[in-house]
Amino acid sequence: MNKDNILETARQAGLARPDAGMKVPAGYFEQFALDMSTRLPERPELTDTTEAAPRSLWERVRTYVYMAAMFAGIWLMMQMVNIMGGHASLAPMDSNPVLAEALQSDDFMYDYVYSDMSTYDVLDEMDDAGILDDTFPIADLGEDIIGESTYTLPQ
Amino acid sequence: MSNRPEEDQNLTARLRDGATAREAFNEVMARYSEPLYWQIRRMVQSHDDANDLLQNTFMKAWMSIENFRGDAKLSTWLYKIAINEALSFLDSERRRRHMSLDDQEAEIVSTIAASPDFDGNELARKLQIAIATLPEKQRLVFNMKYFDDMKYEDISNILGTSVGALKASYHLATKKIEQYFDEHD
Repeated sequence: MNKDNILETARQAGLARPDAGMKVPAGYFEQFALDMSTRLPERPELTDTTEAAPRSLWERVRTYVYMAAMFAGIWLMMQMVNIMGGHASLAPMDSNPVLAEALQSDDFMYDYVYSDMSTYDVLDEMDDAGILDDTFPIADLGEDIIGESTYTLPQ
Repeated sequence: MSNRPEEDQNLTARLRDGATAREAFNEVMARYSEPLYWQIRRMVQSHDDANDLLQNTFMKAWMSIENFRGDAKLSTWLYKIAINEALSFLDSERRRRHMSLDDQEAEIVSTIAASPDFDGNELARKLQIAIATLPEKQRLVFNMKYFDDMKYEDISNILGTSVGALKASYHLATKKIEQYFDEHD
């Protein structure tokens, strides 16, 4: 035996094979593959080609609803901070009792709201309301009242 | 290691198709059960243990077949699973029986010396015992190179070790085996 190169000696002796020096029961590998093929569990998910179920309406809009709720929550929180900090915005006009009373008063409207109307505007409003007709003495008003513009009654 | 890359490519394609996966896997088992068995057997020595580990190897491969993308060689993927199984088994046996690496090595040597499944001559038996005295990693590298004649690049892919480190490991293994024969003349 050449001890200086024992592995080469073993190779030449045919021992450099995977099965060298070992044995297995007769027909082991053929039987192993057959037995194993019957023992493998089914994998239906590998062959399942059905498409995923369509998503419901709620599933599709859910993200947007959550986002809208989140923004609404943030807005609400900011309003609360404003109110608690004394910077609350004014209530709407139609629910403000002081403003509602003022708007129902003719004196307030004539004195403060309509004060800058010209005679021409008043005549125009009257004409729209059907108050003016051919008998109205528009010519008697004079230029100092109706200005230089000439108002012509609609035909 | 498979020397039939075209057949492996065909098998890989069929494994990735759900309709043909099972049939293709049966072919995989028929083709690879023997080389994987010997790889495992040379690590654990006992036929019964090697048989159990080979079954575990194919069961794990089948249950995770969808994870095999075909990027690596089919044989590389299978060898990785088999070697992990063998190393995990040796590790768990050591823990279960509170054995050191030296104790386990001594037991493997005695298994070879007395095993009825060993039918080689004195040189073959002595070579097996010398290999059993190697550290696990060196033993793996030596088995793959000497008995399976694998390329270093393939071994590198399986073990995740650089080619340079594998060459050094194989060289050390051969020196230790020669030393064993010198000391046990």
